[in-house]
Amino acid sequence: MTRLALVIDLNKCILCHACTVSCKIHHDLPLGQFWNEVFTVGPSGEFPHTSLYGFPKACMQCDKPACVSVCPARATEKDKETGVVKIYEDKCVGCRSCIVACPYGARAFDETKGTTFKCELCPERREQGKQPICVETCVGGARVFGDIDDPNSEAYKIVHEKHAVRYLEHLGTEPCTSYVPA
Amino acid sequence: MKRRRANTWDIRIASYLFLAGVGAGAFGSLALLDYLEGGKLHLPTSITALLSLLLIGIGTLLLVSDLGKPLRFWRVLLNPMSSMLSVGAWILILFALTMLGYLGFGGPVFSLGGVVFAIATAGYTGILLGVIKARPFWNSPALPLLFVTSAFSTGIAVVTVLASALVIYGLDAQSSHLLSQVDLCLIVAELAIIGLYLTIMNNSAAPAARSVEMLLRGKQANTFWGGLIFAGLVVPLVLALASSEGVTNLLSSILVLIGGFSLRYTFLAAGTRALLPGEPAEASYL
Repeated sequence: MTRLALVIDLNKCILCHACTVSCKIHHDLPLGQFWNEVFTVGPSGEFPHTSLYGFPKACMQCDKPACVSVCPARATEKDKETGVVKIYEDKCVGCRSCIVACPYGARAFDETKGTTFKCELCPERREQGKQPICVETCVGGARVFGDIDDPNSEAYKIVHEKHAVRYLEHLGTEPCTSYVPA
Repeated sequence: MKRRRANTWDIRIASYLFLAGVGAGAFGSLALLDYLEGGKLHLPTSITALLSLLLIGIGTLLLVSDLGKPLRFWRVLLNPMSSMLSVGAWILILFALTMLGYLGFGGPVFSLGGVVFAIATAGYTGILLGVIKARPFWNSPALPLLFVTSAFSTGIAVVTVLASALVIYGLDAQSSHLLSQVDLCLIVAELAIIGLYLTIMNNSAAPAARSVEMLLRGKQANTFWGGLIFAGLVVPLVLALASSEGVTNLLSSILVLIGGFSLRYTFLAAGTRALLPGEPAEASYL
């Protein structure tokens, strides 16, 4: 099976927010809405042993997405071919149940269009053989995109060699996006 | 950094949860009484059915108007088993049809059916929130129980208001007295459930404890203590114990309704989710 996802190395994120900005520009997201955001963790510890790092939040492209099981209009699904959690704009009724149900706060609502939107890992760019815009613009090389089920992909190698972790796994959503710990 | 409020569920959804509860509780309690009395309360139960249809109609309008794409609401009905929200939409329709059936034909089938669908309507509003795992404060079977208790309590309150405002309502003094006795029990039960609920949530996972904090001391504290606990439960309880006169009854009923709305509003707003590393806490609220 193919499961496209991001692997994000927290040691390489320099908190430049280029991923957030390029995503917002590329997808023309409304004011205050994000598909990916970088949180600042810290500073923590006492001088001289202090640390500060960035945590880029992304859609986790879950295998058992909490957002899908609450959709009353069957407007969103886990795509079987790519593993990407997709939303169909023409089917969405705009009830925002999915936004409430997503444990990661990964979805956003477009008030002007009246429907919910999310990161689908740039399908229009993938069609042209390009990487998602956030990966291309990441100056630190923290974001790696690929098929986490393909042993030959870089993403697969990083997940396994660097022991990438997933967040809020106890909620049972089986997230695919993973992080190399800082 | 100033953040824009998340576009999730707000006062319109809380109002809907409240109105559906009042409508269900009002018809449910009178239909049960009518069933037990062998159909002697047909007139007041019919008038209550009309009021409940109105309340549920307003609630449904709020719900549809809250959609980003209101004209696509039919998609919710066409996918009945897709989610709790769709199941609930059908429960509402069946409840409304049962009330129309009662208005048209009366009889024990529709009164008892009305009681069943009233409980289903009031209960599902709690299950709708309860199945959302991302927000642990809602993940308890006690939530639908609390909403059903509040629904019947506020339902009886609205019946009391009707009885004092409408001369032709025709609810006999004995039934009226029985209902206020039941309401007294429901208020005590609601206080107990809220106390137990918050105690358990306060000792469970971090997001649920944050929700309790938000209710007791945080952003929702005024509505929780003032609207729900004091105005909505304690004062009506004291009033009911002090006197059962018409005016006191009416005042107490109005306060119970304020409490019912405050319950839905604060419990909805307090449903926070777990935070990711570095995530600002305000982003996790509804």
